[in-house]
Amino acid sequence: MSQGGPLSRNLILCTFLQEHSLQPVEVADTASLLHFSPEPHGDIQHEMAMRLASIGDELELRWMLPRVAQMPWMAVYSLAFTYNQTGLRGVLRSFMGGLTNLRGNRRFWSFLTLRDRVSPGLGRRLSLLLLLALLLDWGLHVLQ
Amino acid sequence: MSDCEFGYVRALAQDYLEHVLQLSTAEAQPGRVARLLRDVASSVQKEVEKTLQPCLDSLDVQSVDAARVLFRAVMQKEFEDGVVNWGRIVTVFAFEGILVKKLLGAQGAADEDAYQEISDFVAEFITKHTGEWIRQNGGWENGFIKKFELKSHRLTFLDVIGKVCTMFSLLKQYY
Repeated sequence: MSQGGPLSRNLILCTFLQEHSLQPVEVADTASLLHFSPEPHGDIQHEMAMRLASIGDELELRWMLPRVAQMPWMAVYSLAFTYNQTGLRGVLRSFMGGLTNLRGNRRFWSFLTLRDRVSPGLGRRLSLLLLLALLLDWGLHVLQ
Repeated sequence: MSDCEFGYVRALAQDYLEHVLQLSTAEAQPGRVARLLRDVASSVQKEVEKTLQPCLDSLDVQSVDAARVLFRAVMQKEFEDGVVNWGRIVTVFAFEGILVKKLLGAQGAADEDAYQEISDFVAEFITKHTGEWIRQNGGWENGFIKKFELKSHRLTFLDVIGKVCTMFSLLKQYY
């Protein structure tokens, strides 16, 4: 008996799309992935067994590989998906949106560092307190 | 009792079944393995129920015997490629949960003996077909726990980080 299972890319893709609440109604290929439906005259038991096996394999792989490993091809897929739906303009718009977000996030992180608002000593104390709270929460989960 | 034995697996199957049916037991709190299995198998069950709704609606599970026949047929097909891993073993429990819910829907009331029988044939399948693999892969206490628990703690930690970030973004609105 072998240990590894076949990578069910379609399922990972479905999960990814569902997690991001995308509604690929216009795109036939992704729609068929999202709305998995057994063949009308197919063997229900077979469909169910295959589905369970692919979920099991995906679960195994998801826990085995760091989630980060899935990111590059998900990013490529996301780009292709946007291009398919909205064309080049859509991709550029999405890119500009990303840049705006990045700028917004920079402001947000500047706020987080509490620059010009509190003294460095208080900021350091607050950071330590936050870190302590996080560690405590994690420790409690480990002990449970 | 070894964690690869029939009795151990039957206890896990029974515990998951009680979790699905939300039956309260007078026994002590479930162990680490049972608790983790509840979490992982529940997510898998939800995923299957969501994506295979048309399939599940057409399934007819009127009795324990019907559940047994269906369970054996599906499991035989699922494992016929010879692949065994913890993910697939979890799906066996998820399918147990689905069958039990179907049976409850058909019979309308909880029957202790019926659920005991279901736990028995689920445990029998796991012990017979994957028992050796489980033993070689650290057993439930080591293999299963190591595989799923550490990562779920990491996720919990990330969860906490996420909550803190949400809190800060809420604060951001007021400044």
